[in-house]
Amino acid sequence: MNARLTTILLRSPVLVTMVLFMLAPMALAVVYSFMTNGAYGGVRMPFTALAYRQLLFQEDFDGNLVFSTGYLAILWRSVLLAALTVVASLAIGLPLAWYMACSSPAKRARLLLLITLPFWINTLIRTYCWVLILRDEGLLNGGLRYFGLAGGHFLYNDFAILLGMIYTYLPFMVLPIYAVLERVDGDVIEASHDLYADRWSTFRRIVWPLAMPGAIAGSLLVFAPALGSFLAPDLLGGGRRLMIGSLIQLQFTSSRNWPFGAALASVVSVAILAVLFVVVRRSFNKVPAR
Amino acid sequence: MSSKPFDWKATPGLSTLSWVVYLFLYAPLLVIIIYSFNAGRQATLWEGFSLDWYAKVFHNRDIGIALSNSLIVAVAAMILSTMLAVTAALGLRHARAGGGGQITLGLILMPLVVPEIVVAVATLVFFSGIGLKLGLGNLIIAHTVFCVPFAYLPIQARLTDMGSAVEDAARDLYSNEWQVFRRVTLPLLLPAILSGAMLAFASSLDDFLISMLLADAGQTTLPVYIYGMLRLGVSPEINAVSTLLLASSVVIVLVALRMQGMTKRKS
Amino acid sequence: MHAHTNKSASYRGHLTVNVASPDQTRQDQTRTGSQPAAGPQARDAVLLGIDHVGKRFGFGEGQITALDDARFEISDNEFFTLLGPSGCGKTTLLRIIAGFEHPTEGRVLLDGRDIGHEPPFKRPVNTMFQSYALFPHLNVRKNIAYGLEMLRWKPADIKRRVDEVLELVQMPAFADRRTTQMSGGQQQRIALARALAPRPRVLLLDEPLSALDLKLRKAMQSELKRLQRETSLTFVMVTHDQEEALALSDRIAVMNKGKVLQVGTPEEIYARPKTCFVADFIGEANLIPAGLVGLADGHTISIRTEHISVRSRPATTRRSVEAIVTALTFLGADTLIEARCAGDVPIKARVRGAVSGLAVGDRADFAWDHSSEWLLSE
Repeated sequence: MNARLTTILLRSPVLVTMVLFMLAPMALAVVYSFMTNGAYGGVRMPFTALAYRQLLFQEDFDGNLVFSTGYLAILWRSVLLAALTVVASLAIGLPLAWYMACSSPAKRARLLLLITLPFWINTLIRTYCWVLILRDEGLLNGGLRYFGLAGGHFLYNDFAILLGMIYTYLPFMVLPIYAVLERVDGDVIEASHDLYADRWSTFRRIVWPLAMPGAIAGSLLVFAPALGSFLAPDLLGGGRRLMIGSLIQLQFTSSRNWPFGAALASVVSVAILAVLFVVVRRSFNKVPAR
Repeated sequence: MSSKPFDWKATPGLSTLSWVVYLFLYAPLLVIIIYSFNAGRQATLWEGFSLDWYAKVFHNRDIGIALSNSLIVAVAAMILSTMLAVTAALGLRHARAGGGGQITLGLILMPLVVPEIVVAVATLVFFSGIGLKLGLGNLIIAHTVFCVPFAYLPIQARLTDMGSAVEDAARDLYSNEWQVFRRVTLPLLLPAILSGAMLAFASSLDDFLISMLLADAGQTTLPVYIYGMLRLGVSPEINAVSTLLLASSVVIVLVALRMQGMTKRKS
Repeated sequence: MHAHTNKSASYRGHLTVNVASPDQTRQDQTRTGSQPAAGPQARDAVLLGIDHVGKRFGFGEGQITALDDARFEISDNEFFTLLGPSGCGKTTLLRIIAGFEHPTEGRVLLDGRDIGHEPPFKRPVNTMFQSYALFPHLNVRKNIAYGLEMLRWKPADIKRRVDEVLELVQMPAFADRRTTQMSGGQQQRIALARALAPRPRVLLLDEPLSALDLKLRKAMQSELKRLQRETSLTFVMVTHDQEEALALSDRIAVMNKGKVLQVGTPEEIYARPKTCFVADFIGEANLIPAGLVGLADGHTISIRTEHISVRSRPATTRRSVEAIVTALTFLGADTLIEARCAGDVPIKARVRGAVSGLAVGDRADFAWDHSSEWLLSE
């Protein structure tokens, strides 16, 4: 058998699977977003852009279209919270990754394992932990009262959502930055110190620029799932402080508006693909791989 | 004179910071584990040690069904995604940058970048659109798709590490391509395949959102069942099930990573 | 110790090459007892004092001594080499001078001031790293300007200085290139320029030629020598290559197992080694028990392979031993004759041209002049 044929045969199962069950569904979702809402979920003909109109306009009592910011506000909140998650994870993850990269090989392996492990634990459980801690009868309030301090309502606000998302997605930031910093030649750092740069200058002028490709990858890996996050807004935001992920989920459950849900999903996908495209192009133009 | 010697590897304060971060990562998990052994009805008030809630979990028929659904889906998705991953890794081994292989690779890694909710919605729409009703089969297909990258990455890493010199040596010693694969490539790859399979299994267990949107009545997986319990309010039983799920994920992943580590040490 | 009166000199802004004032000079006292050879310029002023420096890692039973009581002085404008096999402590000593390791004992004196516990970024000492360690995200000009920017030079001065050092290393056209696209030899010149730019008091070179191929290495050797002469800087080089050390250095410190065995000019070390290790490590020497040639037992004599001639009949006027030839290797210009004499002591001779009339297993007479042998007391 010739090598070319073998290669094609080996590649085709995965290619067919991914095209059929990943790409085609996403394409179909886009098609659905242009169809009419069915009475009990699902869709029917004819084709219409109603779902996208619903995103920006509402009909008032007289049937006039009025520009409405309700859904846009949710979109904006989602983008903002996802961006804040990225910033916070970067602020925590960068020093942590540097600390890991500077450790001895044995210690590195342990630290790396401890960072990856939570990633494999069910996100539902990991988010639920924070419910136990933050709720009114939770551990935090219990602790505060024990020390004679006034408790408070810590659950069901944006801060709780943010905390939950940082908790969930932090490993995605640390790992790519660590992967880049681990390969940095220690001599380069020594050369910087040798040339009169103190710790801060070395970090700013050498470590941070070299960590940049990892930081970009990490930011993408955090931003994308955070934008579509469902569990954090649902469990920690109490389902009332919506993010786009929970809004989409609603359209397929209680609201039964599939075209609108599909439209929202398409918007999220396009937004993420756009960010991905811009970042990948920019980083390819600027930073050649080592 | 007596000042501490300069060591660029020891930035002051960083060690403290990382301790705090690790505490942040693990303390909440400890909370759930500790409270699963709480005797009291109140989920967060400590009233003494007890295994009652575990007993209750084991006697809960619905949990049993959800667990078996989860296991069926996870095992099936693991087998399918690992088979796809092995063939893909072998097929993409000599892929050139910019070639058709890049597209396949991009597709394999796509589930890592697309938000879960989008995958879930798209799959739901797709299955209803083509009228596919295979019961748990639908779940298995969806899980297989997002498990592929997790199975693929360790196998691909091992293939890169391995290089092709050993296989060339086998060819030099009169093996045909099939014999090379059977006697050299596969045995060398086996730990990575097992490790990839376990990671696929773990990520299937990790899923909640896709299962929730796709599962019909009677196809509830364990995380979906836990979510349903949560809707009814915090209870110690949830802590016990969650601890069980958490512990099994950790064990599986530790074994998988140990296997991967062994292949690294050998080479 | 020799106190240099110029203590108050601000090293952080050390922009000018220092001028040794003659009244400060004192005689260099190396522990070898040998007189320092006068180089091309007068370089008597002690610049760098290694004063009983030791480095131990770990504690108690598992303690490892990387460096044991090193002491010597390096003069201003000297090309000094630390020579020894891998693991001899030479790199540890270099890193102590650079500031990446701290001595567990002793002092490192620069212009008479102890700098042994200062961080590397506060020492007017620059290193050319073995791996070059160029900053991969900066171009050539930015790499060279890095140290100057850290010292807060004015932009105009930085530009002038960068151009100047690029000229010095003969790479003026490369200023705006990326370092990642350059060959090893080119990267090395940039690394050298970067270390030279801030005009350090001492330039440290860590195995500078080890990564280059043979031809490039020869070219770079003379280049380094030229640069040292032109910049009038003190170079301290670490190498395991004795040929390189002999060709470049004003003085050499031979090290083994954490100890400095001998410090001296290349000629001294070659002709008058103090220990068997030095004799064996520098060039090819035969180490023959003195008893074998009728001298006092317990001593060893060292004879360079090229000083031995091989005859079939004993020559009475010269020192000689009889040996059985075990191998003949033709090396182009020379032939290496290996043999074993009484007591199974190996002896080697390097004779010019090809050898005829001698075969493996033959008995032959290995002879040398009294003047070319050197008695080792060890």
